[in-house]
Amino acid sequence: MKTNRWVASSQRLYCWLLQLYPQAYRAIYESEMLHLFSDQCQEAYKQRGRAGILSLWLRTLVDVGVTVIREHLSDPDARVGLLDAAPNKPLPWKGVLLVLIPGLIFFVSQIEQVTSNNDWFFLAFYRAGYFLILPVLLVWLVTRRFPVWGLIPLGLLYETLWNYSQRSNLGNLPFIGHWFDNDSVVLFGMRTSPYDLKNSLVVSLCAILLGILIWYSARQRQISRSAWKWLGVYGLMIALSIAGEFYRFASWWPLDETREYFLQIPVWDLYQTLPFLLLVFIGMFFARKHGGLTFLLLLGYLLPTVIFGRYGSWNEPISFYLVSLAVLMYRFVVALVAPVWLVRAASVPGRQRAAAIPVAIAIFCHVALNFIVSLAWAGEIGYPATVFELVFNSWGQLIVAAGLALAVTLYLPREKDQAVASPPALAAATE
Amino acid sequence: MPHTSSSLVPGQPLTPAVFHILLALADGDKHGYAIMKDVEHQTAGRLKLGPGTLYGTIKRLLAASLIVEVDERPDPELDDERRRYYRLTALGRRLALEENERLTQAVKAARSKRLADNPLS
Repeated sequence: MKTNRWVASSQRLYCWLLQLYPQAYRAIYESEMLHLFSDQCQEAYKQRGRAGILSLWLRTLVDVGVTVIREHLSDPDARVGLLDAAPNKPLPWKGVLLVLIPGLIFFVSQIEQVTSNNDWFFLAFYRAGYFLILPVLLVWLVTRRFPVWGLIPLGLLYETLWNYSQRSNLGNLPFIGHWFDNDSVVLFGMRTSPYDLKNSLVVSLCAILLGILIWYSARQRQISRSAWKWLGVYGLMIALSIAGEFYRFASWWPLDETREYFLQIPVWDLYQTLPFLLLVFIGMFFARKHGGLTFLLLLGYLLPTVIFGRYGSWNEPISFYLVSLAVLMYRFVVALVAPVWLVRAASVPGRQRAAAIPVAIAIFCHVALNFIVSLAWAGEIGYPATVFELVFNSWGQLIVAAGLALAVTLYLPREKDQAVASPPALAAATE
Repeated sequence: MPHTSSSLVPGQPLTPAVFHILLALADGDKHGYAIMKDVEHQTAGRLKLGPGTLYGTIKRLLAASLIVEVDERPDPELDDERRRYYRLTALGRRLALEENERLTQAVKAARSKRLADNPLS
């Protein structure tokens, strides 16, 4: 029997749509459903021609839309990929799509930033975290399982809140707001500015929480030797950062009015570096369930990283090609390549590579762009750009790189590390 | 444990799709397309089941043991062997009867109120 072109095309399209159903469901009903739809098509065409086919499609699209969601929610097997990752198996593509949503938003907004004068991308950069966490919280509440695709939004929200706290009107805070309304605050006999006080409070809180988490993880034997080494490197880099800041402004030291600033140098450096370290250790709670995929939490933290738009830190125009390269390298790698590579990798070494290589490329790109912009600026104002200054400007990114290396050793311990540290829950989760 | 939908709890009203599928199987074994046509006929074209709704409901009815899949073919000569046939179980028949009684009761109540004779406008 000769098949009509409209009927044949409809069958092909419906066959493709059937892929949206859970695999277990398709295994039983796929051929039956296709058969039934073909019968419907033949009949619709026989009765009303093309109009019959179009009318059938209107009903069928609603049917597919509703029943795909229902089958995914009702099928226990379909939960893999939507909520959890199966150990040592790549995440199914439906889960990958959910993981990719925040990255896609940031990638598109970054392209908007460098190609137009519109500023709606700010909305994505500073507000996306609040909206992307809502479905995650809803799913967590309903299923009592934190979904694997919620890790990036959680990291993003953490970064957004921490970043926002640097600018927010702290005078609105309940109970302690009045401290921040004044020009200066006297605490334990010392006069300090409200912002320095806020920084000190955040640093103290981070340090206490970190101490508790590190102690707890060590007690649970979840910190391998490599992780201890990277934790040491992270601490050393913070110390070098503080020392470098003192060295940089050493000539100002004798002045009375700058003495207060010198006292705040360590606090400010710790304010910049401790929250990320705290997030790495918060990730240990998720590593028990999600294993190496917990690295997604840190990718979420890196998502809103500013890598310059059309204008640099001093509002100077930056080469379009340079920014485009940075966007392609940094945003594309962190937002799209690293998450997909990570969740599609099936083994611990594969996930280690997926975590390390794209992030190393992204951070190298970020550091290189910082170098180039600093050099260009130095040339413009006639300020001599020393190697120290250039390295110092990128030190923050290098500290983040050390933190990410620490995360790899914590969430994805190598076999020999596991034998030494034997973190039972973590090993079970990653194996 | 079989999946039970809230619409398949004994004593609770059935959804139109469930009730009409059970009715379609009341007079004999049928395959999916025949069930769909029967439902359309029963409801004078008001309820047109798509493949997703039909097989999703069949899956739930199978899980709740209200219908079973059968290997026998009404007429093997004319039949396409790729089709699956379904049969109403005793439990399915009982549930359909309960629903029938509930609906009859509802129609009776509506008639006693003379709904059709006392329109609002």
